[in-house]
Amino acid sequence: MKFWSKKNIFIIICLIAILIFLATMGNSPAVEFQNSDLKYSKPSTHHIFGNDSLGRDLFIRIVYATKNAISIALYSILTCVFIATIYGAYAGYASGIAEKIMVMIMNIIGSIPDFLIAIFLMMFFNNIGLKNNNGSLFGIFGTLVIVSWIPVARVIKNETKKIMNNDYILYSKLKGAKFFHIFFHHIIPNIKNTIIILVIQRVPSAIFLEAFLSFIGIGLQPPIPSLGKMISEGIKTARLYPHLLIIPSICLILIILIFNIIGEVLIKKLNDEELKNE
Amino acid sequence: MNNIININNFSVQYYCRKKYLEIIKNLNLRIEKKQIISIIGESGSGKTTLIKAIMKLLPQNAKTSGKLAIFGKIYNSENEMQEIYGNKIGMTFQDPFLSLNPTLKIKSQIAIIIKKKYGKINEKEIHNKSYELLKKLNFNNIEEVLDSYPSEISGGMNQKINIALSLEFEPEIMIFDEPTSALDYDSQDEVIDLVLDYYKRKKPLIIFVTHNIVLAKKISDRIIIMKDGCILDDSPKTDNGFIFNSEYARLLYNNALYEKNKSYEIRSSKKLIELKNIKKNFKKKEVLKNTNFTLCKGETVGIIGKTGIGKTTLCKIICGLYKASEGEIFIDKNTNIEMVFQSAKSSLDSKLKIREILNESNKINKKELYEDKVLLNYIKDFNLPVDTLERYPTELSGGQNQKIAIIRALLNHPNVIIFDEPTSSLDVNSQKDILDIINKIKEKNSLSYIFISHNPQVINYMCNRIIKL
Repeated sequence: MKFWSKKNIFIIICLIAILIFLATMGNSPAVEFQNSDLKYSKPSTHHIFGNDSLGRDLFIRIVYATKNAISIALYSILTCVFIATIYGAYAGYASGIAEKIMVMIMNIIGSIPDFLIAIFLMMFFNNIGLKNNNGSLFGIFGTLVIVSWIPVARVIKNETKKIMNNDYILYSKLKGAKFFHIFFHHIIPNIKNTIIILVIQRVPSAIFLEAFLSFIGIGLQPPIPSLGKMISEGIKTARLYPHLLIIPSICLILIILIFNIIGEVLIKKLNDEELKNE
Repeated sequence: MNNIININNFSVQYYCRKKYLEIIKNLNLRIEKKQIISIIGESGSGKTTLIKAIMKLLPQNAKTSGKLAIFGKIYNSENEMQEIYGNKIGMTFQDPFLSLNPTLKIKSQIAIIIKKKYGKINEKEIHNKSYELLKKLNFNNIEEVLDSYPSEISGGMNQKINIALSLEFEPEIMIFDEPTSALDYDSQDEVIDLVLDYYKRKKPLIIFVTHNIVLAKKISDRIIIMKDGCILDDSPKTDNGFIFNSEYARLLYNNALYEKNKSYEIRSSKKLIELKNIKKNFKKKEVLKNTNFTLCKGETVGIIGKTGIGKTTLCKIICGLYKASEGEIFIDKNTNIEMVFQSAKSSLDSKLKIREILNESNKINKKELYEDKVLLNYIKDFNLPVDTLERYPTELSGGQNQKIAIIRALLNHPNVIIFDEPTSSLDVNSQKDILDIINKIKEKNSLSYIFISHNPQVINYMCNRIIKL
């Protein structure tokens, strides 16, 4: 079946709508409702995953932490690919000094370690004074975008360079085409499958990176629930209350696994269709 | 029963846009001796598919049936073939720009092969051997070439390097897919000498896929002619040359390509384009020096020369794509120049429909798009299928794509068209077809042409005046 069929486009639009819905959902107060009587409780009928160190219901926290993980990952990757595509395509289109400068910028930013960027952004957003540590959301989002865009931009630049070698680009330039025409008319149609694959491939690692940064304490800050944070707290009390470690860990593993599998299926479909059109 | 290659009842089908296309039908072929075999056929006859089937390099949407054995063994996948790639069987591909890695410099790519062949070897030795390799190919400026990327040197040079690298491992079976179609006569000779020298040394089986019959006649011990996915005729070299049974094969074999026609009368002396003392440097390379060129109204001027000498560069300067480093350029003010490029594959964007390709120029300049009626007139004139506007370039043959490129040029009502090797990637019948169309429209639209080719026969057939670079 064709990848870009009406049905698939409809599915993609639905997914984007779900994303928007998820992100604007915010957190229900139940996430933070503390019941000191229930501190560290094991799973029960009222609280199917049990309660954490502050008596909060683990199940609700896991649900919202998962939602945060997925929506942050998807948003940041989509933004990152959007920026990287325009930057990479222009770097591929340009030549001479402009290209050299753009590559140098990529190399400089690319050599800054992820966690330094994360710390800097977190401090920056905290200082703006958004309530409830919502600044950390922007911090993590910004970190994921900045960290991921460079490898994507490099791939796009190389693909664009190959496209620019073709005579049809020469023809377009002869007719007076500038960057925007070539970008929308020639580059995008030829790299759109590459872009999709890049997005799909990076989502699981974005989910992991967010969890990792939150785990070491420079990602999402409480009260915003995060699987990474829950795992790091669960480790402290793992001997006495294993459910606080095991459940978030399994959840994180599952969502990364699911996205990996979805990714492979979609990529295979895309590749099959590419071949059929040759 | 030592068959080198044994093919029995072999068929190949491609699944493409929801239908199965039969490319090769029940083919039988036995190659027992190590010799030079040429496979000749029109585009679409299945020659490249056959070669890819032997090498197990068919795309995933291809279905095969029947038996194909190499040295008596049947291989079922590319993986199984890994053990004989390079040392027992090798192949060079048609498009020179696709054969070398565009992101590595020439010296890096040669180094990879040399390291593989000689094992432990130091940098200096690698450089020496690379130098030797390029020297044997009669390259000038070897150091510059080594330091370049494949896109910075011409297609012919790429092809020569590619072939030389394939021969480094001295395989017992060597397959060449159109090795000379992008080369000028001198380079062709040099490449053929390379191949024949290799043949004399190691006596391999050489399979030459080509549509250059003259070449095939000269060097082959056996000629196989393919048409519509089958082997039409198969003849070894006899004392009386090659003898074929079918009418088609005989016509192809005896095709005296182009009779000298063309009255060489000088038309009106109105100068449309004049270039004086043009110099063009790319970084440190001097591509054009003290070049002069004129085009008068109604003429067809041919530009001929070795690969890499600057024919395409000169034309790009005329079009305004490149600025000359030095020299004067005069172009008459009402002159509208269009260009038709060498490879139809790279001059038409395969992701766009033909209709969009033909309308691109209007889109760029924010003019009204052509109505289908207007486009269909041209489509009919050029004998193209009725549904062409809806198709993608990949659904048309090379010759048809080239016709689209010509229509694209004509739509702008030019008075000068530059043809850059418009027929070198086409088979003989399509070539004649295109050249005749080019001549027909010249009179009808009172055009003047600049015609680049490395084939002296084509130049003689088409041009009033020839300039050699």
